[in-house]
Amino acid sequence: MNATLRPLRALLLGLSLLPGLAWAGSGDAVLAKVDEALNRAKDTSSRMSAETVIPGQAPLKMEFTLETKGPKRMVEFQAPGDMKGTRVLVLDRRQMYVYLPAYNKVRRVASHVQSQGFMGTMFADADMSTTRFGEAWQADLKAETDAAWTLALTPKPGEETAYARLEIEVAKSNSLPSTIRYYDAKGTHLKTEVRSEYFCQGDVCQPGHFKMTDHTRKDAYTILIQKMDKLNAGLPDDRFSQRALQQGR
Amino acid sequence: MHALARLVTDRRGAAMLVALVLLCTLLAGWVGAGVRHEDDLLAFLPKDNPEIARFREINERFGGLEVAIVGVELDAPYQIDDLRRMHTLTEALDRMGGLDHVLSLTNVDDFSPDPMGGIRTAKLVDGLPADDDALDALRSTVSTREHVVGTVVSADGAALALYAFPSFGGDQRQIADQIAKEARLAFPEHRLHFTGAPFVSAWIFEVTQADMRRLTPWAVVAIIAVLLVAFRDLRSVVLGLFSAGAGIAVVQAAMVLTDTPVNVVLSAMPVILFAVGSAYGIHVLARYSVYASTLPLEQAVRRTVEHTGPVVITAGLTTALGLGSFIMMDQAPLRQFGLFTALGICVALTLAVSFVPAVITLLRLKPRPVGAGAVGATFARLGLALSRRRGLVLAALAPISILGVVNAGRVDDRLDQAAFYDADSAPAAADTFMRRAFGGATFVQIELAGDLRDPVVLRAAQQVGDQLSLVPGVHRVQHIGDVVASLSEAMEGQPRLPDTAAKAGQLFGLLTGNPAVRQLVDPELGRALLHVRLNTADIDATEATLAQIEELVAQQALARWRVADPSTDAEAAARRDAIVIDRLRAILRAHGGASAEALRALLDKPAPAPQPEAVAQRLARWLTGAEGPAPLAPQQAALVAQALLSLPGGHTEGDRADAIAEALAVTPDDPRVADLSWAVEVPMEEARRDSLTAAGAQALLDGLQLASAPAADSPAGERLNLLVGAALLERTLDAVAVPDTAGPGALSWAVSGTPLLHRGLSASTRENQVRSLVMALGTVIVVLAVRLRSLRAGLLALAPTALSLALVYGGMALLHVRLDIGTSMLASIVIGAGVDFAVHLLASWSADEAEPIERAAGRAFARTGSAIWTNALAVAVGFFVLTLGDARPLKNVGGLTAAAMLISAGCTLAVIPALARRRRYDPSADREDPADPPWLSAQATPLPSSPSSPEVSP
Repeated sequence: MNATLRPLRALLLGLSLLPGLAWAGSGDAVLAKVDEALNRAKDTSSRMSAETVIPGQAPLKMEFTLETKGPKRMVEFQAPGDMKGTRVLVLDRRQMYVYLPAYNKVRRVASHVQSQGFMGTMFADADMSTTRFGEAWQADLKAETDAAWTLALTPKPGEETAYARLEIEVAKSNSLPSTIRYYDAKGTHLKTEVRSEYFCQGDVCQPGHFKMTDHTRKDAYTILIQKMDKLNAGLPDDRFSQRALQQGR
Repeated sequence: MHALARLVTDRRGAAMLVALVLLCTLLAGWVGAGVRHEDDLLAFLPKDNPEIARFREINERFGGLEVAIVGVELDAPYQIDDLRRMHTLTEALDRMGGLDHVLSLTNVDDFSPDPMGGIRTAKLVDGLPADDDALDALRSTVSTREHVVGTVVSADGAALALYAFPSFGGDQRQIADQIAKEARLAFPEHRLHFTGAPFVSAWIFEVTQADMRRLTPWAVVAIIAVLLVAFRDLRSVVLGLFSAGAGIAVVQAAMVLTDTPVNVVLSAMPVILFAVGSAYGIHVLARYSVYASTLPLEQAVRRTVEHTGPVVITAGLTTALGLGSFIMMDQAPLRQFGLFTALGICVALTLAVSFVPAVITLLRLKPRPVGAGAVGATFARLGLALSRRRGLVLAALAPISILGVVNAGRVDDRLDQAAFYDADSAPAAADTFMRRAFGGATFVQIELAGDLRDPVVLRAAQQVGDQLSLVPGVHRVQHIGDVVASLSEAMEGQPRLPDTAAKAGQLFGLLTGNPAVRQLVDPELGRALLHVRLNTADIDATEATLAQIEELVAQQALARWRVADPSTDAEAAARRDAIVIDRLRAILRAHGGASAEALRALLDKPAPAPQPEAVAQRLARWLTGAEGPAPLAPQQAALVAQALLSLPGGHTEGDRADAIAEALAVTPDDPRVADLSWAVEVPMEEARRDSLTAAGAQALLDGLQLASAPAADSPAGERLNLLVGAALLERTLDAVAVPDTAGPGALSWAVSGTPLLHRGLSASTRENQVRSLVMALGTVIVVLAVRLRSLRAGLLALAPTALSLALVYGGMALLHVRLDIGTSMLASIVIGAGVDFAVHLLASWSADEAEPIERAAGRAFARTGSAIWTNALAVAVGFFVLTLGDARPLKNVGGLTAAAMLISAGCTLAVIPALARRRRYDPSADREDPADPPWLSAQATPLPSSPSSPEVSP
């Protein structure tokens, strides 16, 4: 059963934090700019498609819609086919509800954030959970060019993080991350995340393309494409309720 | 040979030849230094054997071959510090490159009911226990997780195991080394055991390599010592060894050029080449000394090349053909071993008849003194005696031969792990540990092909798993049904398989990309694998269990099936009952077990109705929890639960709304009423269902009076009740598969796993033995018949080796030495090397027509007896040194080849004089030879009356 709950929790945690993908330059001041830029949108509606390529295995594909409002998220799967109609409501990092249409039942799932992969992707829950880096990390400005800052992040004292160190390249143009490198305590470069194809509405920018490469797994990678449908459309609070979860839109 | 003789007796030609050989050897040595090593034991698995092909296919599909297991032996049930260390190791491996997935007690996912409602998911070890009380609580919880106990922690808690799954295509040995290093860092003071393919492969390869590095120099020293003692001529020995060394260099260069790695078997090639290949050059030098005692150097060299060359070539060719017969084997490393070692023999042979004479010419080597010494005379007497008393010899050999042949047929050709390592080796200790603490590390795998989204197929897998778990020798069975049932439990509270394809599909959707289930089901959900862990200790027990497993799987008559409703179809009802009985027996096995009859009798009794209060409590718990859309206060929840449960069957959402409003004393438009009335329907059904099954389960457990049932109110007792209840729920199935040859459903089963792999390897080894033996015998007999110009003479030359083989294999049977990959090479090596003795003996077999045959025997023995024993001893000591290592296959091959060479020499000297009836087998055999005792010369008459008689007339 070790395998049993992992997918469920990974699904819930991962999905709960997907807007974390909407992460946003000297050290902590730059990091504060990043956090501010990452959290400008009041609510979002987007369509996501993911493809995971692991050497030796068939590619994994996944499609879902994502709505966010503050810390709340509502996710509905379209693919793979078996998952179609499955919805997940995340109220906060530790309180989530899942609805599987075949069971016609809402299940509350209280969970802890883990560093495991989300639905077989190279994105760990922790990778997607950080909406504000400054909550758990402190930053040093490692380098600066005309176009970008490079921050070296280490955990704040007392903070438990999934990685020992992060290195973030932040574009000065939008104060948002373009590349994030993840390291362990021994300094091993574990993963690299590249965020690109940013699209903006007003001062709110979102990446349209994510690529996470896991260097510990023969450079297996996941590409996540985000297509924004609505931004700051004023999603009602009851869109993020159990009733909405069970009954759909 | 004449042209060659001319070339090597011409100083300029000889110089050019020597220079060319030295240059080529240097070049080959330089190129050969880049030879790479490979430890892929899977390369030994022949692709055409159906059982092995299936094993490979299944394991490539599910990736089960690569798991590396670290076992930690503790002195007492695990403590907080042990958990901390395991956590450290798990984290370290999780972040280590090259691994897909790591599983240990400290990262097992778990779920439990959340006091706030719904479920709480976390690690089973969710943070290290703060104190002993917390540790006790954790142990208690762990003990109720049937999927954890016996997998990552032993039942007594005194052993932990970690499973590491390497990524596709990784360097297994490097990964094994890294895992072992991290494990030793985390557990520096503990007894650690490493098992699983990466560790076993690495161990076998490293031990073999270490043995070869350590023992090869000693083997060479031993061979040199024998040769020096025998020939008392350092130059001869050096030249002979150079020929063999050049052969090794050329072989390694050829391996580099053909991109062939050194495998475990090929690592023994240097010893074989030094032992066998050096003899040719030495023999040439020895004959040169004989001829040079009466002839000028040039003539002596010429005569050596022309007379001895063909004999040496014949002898070497038979050895090369014996080894070359390995091309008939279906195991690639053995084919490579045969081909490359044969190449090395050919190089050594070629150098012996070209380079060695050239060196003699170039350096004008002086011959060593030769003559009829005491040893030669002794051999001559022996030859005479054996020839004279051939009837007695044959009479003595007959029963020995019969005994050998009869017993040779009884050689145990079954393979298991014991073929690869000794009982006192690290892998064997790891096996023992895993068997003691975790019920074994030998797995039978059963592949099921069918649509896994179909609950009927999932139930078929589970039922077979349940039946298999009851087979003696089976420790436990794991399959995808366990995972799906557990996920289903998380969703709807009952650890049972989903009853609809839609539910199954969505649960599988949650498992998408999960590395932990990769070993259980393929991504397309068309095939699943049942892992049957055996706790058998030896091959007999394993085979007995395997036979039962195969029989059980063969009885699954669901090749084609249709779905039927048990309420209307008697066969479906019977199959549904069987599913329930098998499920219950599998669950109850750990608690003393229950017979099918006892269960049937109890199941026939009416199920007890649940207490209404119990149902209400369950529903009230949901109403107060955060899982519901409008959590109520406990008192309100109790009232609402009572009101809802009093509603008649077939009520509507409106009826529920009215009941809720009334119980809460609010108007129907209260938001809580609307939310609860639609949300409570499923929880109501579940409360009734769960209460009913809990009552039924307890009644059944009470009726069974199990030998080792946990207390009903203990965590283990509650878990048992839940599992039994879930099994009882299977009686509500309304769709069951029944066999129907025209049915739309299809299922197929295939049994695989390491015991079947070993069985396939045994068959392959047996067939390889026969094929290579036939080829070796066939080609060698042709060479001998051509060389001796007579098929009968060829058969005569082969007879001693045939007897040797019968004796060696008979001895193997008596000493319980099994035929395995290593020992399967023995026959061809013995044929190749052993026939040399007969070739040399027959080439020296010479008597005039007027002389009795005994003289031919005496002369042949005098001329070659010493050389035969020297050769046999040199090969024997070279191989014997290999028995001093740790690598089991090398030890077997080393010991048996050493014994076989001595037996072969003995048989040659016994059989040839007894069977040879001609006065000459090689037309070029010398009539006179300085090695002949004077009393054997043509002029000496009469012959001594008795070989032991001192009255030998000069």
